[in-house]
Amino acid sequence: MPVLKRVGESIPPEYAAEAVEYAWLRRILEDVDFDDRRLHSFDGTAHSRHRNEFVAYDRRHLQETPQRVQRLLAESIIQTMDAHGEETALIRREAAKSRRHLTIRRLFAQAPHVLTAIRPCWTMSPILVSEMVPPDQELFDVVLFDEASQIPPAEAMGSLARARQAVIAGDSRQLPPTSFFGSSLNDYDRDEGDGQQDLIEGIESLLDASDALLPSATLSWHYRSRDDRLIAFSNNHIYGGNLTAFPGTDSAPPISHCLVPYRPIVSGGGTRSNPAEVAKVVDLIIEHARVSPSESLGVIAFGQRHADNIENALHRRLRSDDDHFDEFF
Amino acid sequence: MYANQSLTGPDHDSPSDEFLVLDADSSQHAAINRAVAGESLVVQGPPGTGKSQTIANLITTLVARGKRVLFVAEKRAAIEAVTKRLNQVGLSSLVMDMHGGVTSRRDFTRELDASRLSAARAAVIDAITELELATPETAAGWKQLADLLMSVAELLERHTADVYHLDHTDLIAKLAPAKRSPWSRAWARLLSRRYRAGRHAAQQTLAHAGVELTAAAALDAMEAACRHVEEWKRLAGTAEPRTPGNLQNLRATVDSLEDRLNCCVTSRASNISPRCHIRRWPPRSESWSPTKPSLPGCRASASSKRDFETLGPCRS
Repeated sequence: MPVLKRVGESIPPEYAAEAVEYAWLRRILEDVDFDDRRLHSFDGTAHSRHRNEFVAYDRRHLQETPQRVQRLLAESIIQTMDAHGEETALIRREAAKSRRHLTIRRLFAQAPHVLTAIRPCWTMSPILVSEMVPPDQELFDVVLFDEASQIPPAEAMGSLARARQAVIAGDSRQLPPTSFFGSSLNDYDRDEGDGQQDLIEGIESLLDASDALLPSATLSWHYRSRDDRLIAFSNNHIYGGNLTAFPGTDSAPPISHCLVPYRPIVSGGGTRSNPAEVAKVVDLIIEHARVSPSESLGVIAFGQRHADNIENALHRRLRSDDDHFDEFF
Repeated sequence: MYANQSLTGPDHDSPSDEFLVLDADSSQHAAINRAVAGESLVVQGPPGTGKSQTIANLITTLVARGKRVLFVAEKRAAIEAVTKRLNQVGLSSLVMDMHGGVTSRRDFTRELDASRLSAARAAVIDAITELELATPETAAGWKQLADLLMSVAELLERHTADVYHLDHTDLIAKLAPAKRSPWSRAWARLLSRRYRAGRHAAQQTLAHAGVELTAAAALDAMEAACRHVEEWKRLAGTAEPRTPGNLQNLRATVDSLEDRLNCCVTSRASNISPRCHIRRWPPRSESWSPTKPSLPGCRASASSKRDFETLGPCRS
């Protein structure tokens, strides 16, 4: 048996099984390598070379694209100016004036083509759109929203009416807009008891509203965390494990949990702050200042009262402590 | 890894149709392609997944395809996350940032006008560079070159006022290597006449162009340029034309151009806008490909990029 022959005699008996398996698998590999045209013609060096060439071309392509875009933009500006001479003349005149300029809204109305050709992308807040841009669906091709979870649906209507296509970006798991006025209004509406209620109930932002109506695309690669364990909790519990993150290179866990006995003090106002927790947080701050004073530190507390307590305790500790951390704090 | 690749997935566009300016992963690219295909959609971007980067890429791609974009966000930070990235790749000229409202309508219109001027200049520089790099060998090639020259002249004609802010000395220097080619004589005559006629127009146009450049400095530059051209003309005069017939055609073309250019300058001086219309944009060469940066298109846009940068928004 050629397989057994390959195992040789220098291998101790207790490894015999592994040796046989190794030889067997090894032989299969060699066979496949020999028989399969795709494998035996595979040239590792050439493959790496092609890959590196591709990477270099891709880089260059990426670096040259801004110039290509600029050229296309210049062409489009020139063409639009030629096609709309009276609009160009208007802008020329406006620029030459020193006062009594037209409002932006009137400029949009009178020179729509040249204005949007010279600058093809206009950024505004939802409120400004209604103020500055006349309601005309031909003015823009696409309206693009970012942080749409913070935009109340009603505020977005003005922008939506000024283009034929909408791209709405956001994160539906992020906090909705602060709805101090919104909620009081909703309560008022509820008292009226008309049938309109169901339409807006539970829908707090543009993102919620459009998520129900439009198809969606999800970005799925997470880059921000230097260690995937930092996003692991959110990924599993909030994003359904759909994010692909990249493992960190540090073996020490980047996140740790300190359990502190729960002994809250309920004061008159009803706000709770656990003294043991405050003490522990102060300990950790002092330790950080001692061990790694060159690294900055952020402390986040869930509640103003709690934050104040931590800050006061920290100041007391710093006054009483013999050590000096003046450089750090 | 690429399991969810669909027709709208990445790598279905040829590199010449793809306008990403920042890295994009498969999910970002797919979202961009769907939006560019005209679909209205929601883009869900969990934290740290490159939402702003995707929006910057999307804006660039839409603009490159001639679309006009209204970009709306409640908070300034969201806008800045995107504009910052566009600035980094030198594309701030795409965006008019109105998020904070308009404090001065004067500055606003001046900025618009400055963009208009720099576009005109970029177009002229592009065309001239293309002309400069042309090396015709056949009769058809000469015909194409004459056409190109014609369209450059048209471009110059229409934007006479705007073009006078070019750094002329630089322009001539760029053209110098071509001075021995047969058409350089014709070209030199055109330039020379243009500068001479332009001296009068320049004084008037500089004033309202909104460019921070003193009239004296511009005139000095132009004088220097004229001296260059004269010298160049002398050199070109001694060159042996290789195809006399074609050169004669070219001369005739240039002569008629000079007349038209004169009309244009006179009419501009008397504040009547010339009745000139674009007939044709200089054809973008076939070789406009990102993998061949040494060919005309890319070089041309390199200079237009510089031109965009040096101008910047106008302050006053």
